[in-house]
Amino acid sequence: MTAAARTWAIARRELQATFGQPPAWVFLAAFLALAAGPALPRFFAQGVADLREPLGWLRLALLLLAPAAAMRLWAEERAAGTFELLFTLPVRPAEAVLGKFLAGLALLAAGLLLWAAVPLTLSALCDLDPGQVAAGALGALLLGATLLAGGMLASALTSSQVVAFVGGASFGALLVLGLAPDVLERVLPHALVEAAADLGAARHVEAFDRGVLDTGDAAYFVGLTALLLALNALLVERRGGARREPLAAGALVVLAALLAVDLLGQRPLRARFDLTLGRANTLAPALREALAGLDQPLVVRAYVTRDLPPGYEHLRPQVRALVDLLHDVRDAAPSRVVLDLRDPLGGDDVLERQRLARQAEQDGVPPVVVGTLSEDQAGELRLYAGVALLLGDRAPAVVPRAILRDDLEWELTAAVSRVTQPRLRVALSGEGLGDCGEARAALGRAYAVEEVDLDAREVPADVALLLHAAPVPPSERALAAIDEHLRRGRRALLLVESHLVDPVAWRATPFDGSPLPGWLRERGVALGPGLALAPAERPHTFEVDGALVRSRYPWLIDASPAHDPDSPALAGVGRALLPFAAPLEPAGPPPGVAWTPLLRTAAPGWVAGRGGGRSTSTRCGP
Amino acid sequence: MIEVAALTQRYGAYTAVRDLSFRVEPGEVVGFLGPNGAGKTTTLKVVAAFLAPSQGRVTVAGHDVATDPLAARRALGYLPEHCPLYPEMLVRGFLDFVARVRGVLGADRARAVEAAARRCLLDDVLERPIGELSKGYRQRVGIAQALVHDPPVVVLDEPTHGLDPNQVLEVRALVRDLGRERTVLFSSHVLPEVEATCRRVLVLHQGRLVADATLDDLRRRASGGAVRARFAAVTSATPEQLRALDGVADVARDGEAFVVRPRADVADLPARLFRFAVDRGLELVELAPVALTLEDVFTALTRPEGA
Repeated sequence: MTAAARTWAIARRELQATFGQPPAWVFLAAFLALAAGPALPRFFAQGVADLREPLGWLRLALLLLAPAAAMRLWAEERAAGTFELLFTLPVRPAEAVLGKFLAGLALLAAGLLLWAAVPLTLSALCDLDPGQVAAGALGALLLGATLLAGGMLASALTSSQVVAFVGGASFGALLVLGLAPDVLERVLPHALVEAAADLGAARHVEAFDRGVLDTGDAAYFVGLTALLLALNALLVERRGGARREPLAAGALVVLAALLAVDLLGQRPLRARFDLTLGRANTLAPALREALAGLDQPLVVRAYVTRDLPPGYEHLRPQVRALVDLLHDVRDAAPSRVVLDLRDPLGGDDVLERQRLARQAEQDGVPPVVVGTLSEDQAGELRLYAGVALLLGDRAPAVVPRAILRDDLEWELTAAVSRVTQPRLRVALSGEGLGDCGEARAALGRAYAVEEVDLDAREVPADVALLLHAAPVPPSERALAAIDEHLRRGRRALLLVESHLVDPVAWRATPFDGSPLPGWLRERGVALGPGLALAPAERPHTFEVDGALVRSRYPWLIDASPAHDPDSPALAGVGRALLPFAAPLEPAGPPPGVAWTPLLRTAAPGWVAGRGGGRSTSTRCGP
Repeated sequence: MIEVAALTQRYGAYTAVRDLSFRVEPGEVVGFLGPNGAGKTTTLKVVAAFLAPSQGRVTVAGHDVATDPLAARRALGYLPEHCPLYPEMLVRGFLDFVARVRGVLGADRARAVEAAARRCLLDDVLERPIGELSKGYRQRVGIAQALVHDPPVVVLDEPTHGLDPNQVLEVRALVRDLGRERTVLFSSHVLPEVEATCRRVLVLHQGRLVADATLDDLRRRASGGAVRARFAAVTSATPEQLRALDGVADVARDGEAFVVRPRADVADLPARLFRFAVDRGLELVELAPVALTLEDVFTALTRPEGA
């Protein structure tokens, strides 16, 4: 007779005792009502197919029902005296403990199986990621196992099932609710919060909820469960069993288990598996590379409002996604990234809140206005959801609004690049960007931008890119400065006009005496007469001097990337509207000059007044 | 088959059993006798490898209960005091469970369950929940679970406790029957129980063994061989005549009967009394050894020798 067969015999008896009785079915019904019922309205209220709300309710239900499943396992035996009967059968305490545990786990698993109706129903209505469902259920099962083992330990301490339930439920509440970071923050000194939170279950279910299997988290639950079961076996042995199994052996097993848990929670054994089909929890390679290249600590300082006011719960998944992403960034390079999460609206200390708010302002993360407070209450609802990246003494890179956008990871990657890589100098000249504050700000986030006046001085030698934008052709002097710049092997981008346009009269008059056509011809580009035109699918309506002009043949040319859509110059640009473009065509470029069209008018384009296809293009430097 | 050597058993500061030693040979049926609280149940729990001995050494079929409790448990069948059972289980399911845990495998298990049930007259109730059974049936289920794996040693703690007279008779017959092929150790706090089922008796008093003897021995020591005699008609001289009879130490009146105690060296008191009646022409209505109560036994056993 093997130990496994005896364990199975015990488990089998417990299963018969459990499922042969009405309480098991009451148990399952209560479980389903508690785990599924309240979760659904909230799930729909958040407007995002995120399973975390239902998983949170499932956990609460487990908190009550795991101790309920565990309470009778030992207390009943002790009350009925069958404890003695059991341990005069040739059964080791460990076998009895394991057999009972497996029977309890089967009941919880049956509950989870019924609960699976929730994600199944929801998947008919929205796109749930099956990976997230599976990981969430696995996390719930592991948590359930731990709570069950805790409840069993309580049950072994008493012959009263009521006492066993209260004990088991208290253990679960402490583990799941008590040792949660936000609760600990209020009762413990800040330095101890992290360590204490690591002991609690709340931190270790987070990854499962997101659809991530982290061996460190799995080892936490498995190890804690094993520890509780081992204690249970020792206790049962002391209470009745004949010989004390050598304590040293028990202690060794416990030590080995703890060591295994610790090792699995550490690199290099710790592994993280993203179970979601969409790889929703895996950082983009670009972000990982950027983080891997860090040579000094990067402080990720995030200002995030966690407690959303009533009526704004729909933002919770957004806030969670932000916090999760930041944690992933930290976990991708734990030795080089310091995550500093702050909540200028949270906490009871008014002075501290004000200090944080000032700091957020200094770091360039102002509060985001997400709506009005309520109909009868004046004022806007502001909350913080921004990130500042600080690296040494470099200028910080900021993502001021990190919620309500779907390019968060891209934006964060760009910010990391900005703060890590030396910024290229870009010189602006001309008046073309004078009114475009937004474009200038966008440039400013990526480059060190400065202004130069081409008519007054030369372009500084280490400027990588010259952007000359003006509504008039460049002067001889400016073109000489551009030539000088190009001779250094740098690049220049010209956004200039060759014609004076009268859109109402449909007339374009070339600027008199412009040196531009000659300058271009020297570089193998011919500037044609007239303006390029292309048909539009719908008439375009635009305003010219207060009058609305409607045309099927837009002056604003709808151009699409002509060449390689992945070219870095046009990455992410699907189409572009070019106002009043002049036709350009190759005219025998001198040796060593390549001609690469980047944008092309929709076919068939033609030049006003001439007919025939033409392309409008900007030209790359040599 | 059972060997207890210098067993002392403590519960915290309380000592339930002191320096207890005895052996039970194969095939013996031994009664374990003592009032409530004498330490019988404690001793049996140690023998059944449920409690570890605080001191001393206990072996069952050669297996030390302290170092190899599983082997010791395998060798014996045990009925705990008050016969605890799982009330929600069916009789068959329960016996099957015990057989399973005890390692009776495959088709043997169904046969073993049937055999144990037949032996304990449980065939009618096999499919009924244990909780619905009468006390007598439950007790028999308890005995059946102790037999289901056909152990060489059977230990029964108060097997007739709380049964009505008919059920008591049935269980006694069962225990006698078991004694034919197995070693049986059972406890009781009523003397007739032991008289009806076994020859050898262990008497426990306040945690100590006060007697390890055959019943006849015990009776003699307790009663001093006293005989109860009743005559159809007695005269006022009869007590004096009895006292004067050779070999009689003492005569006491018990209603219409006399309790006659012999001198220590006299073994044939009933024969002498019979001759006495014949010689005097008295009609002998009753002549029997004095019926002993447990109290008598204890008074005798705990009385200092020679008093």
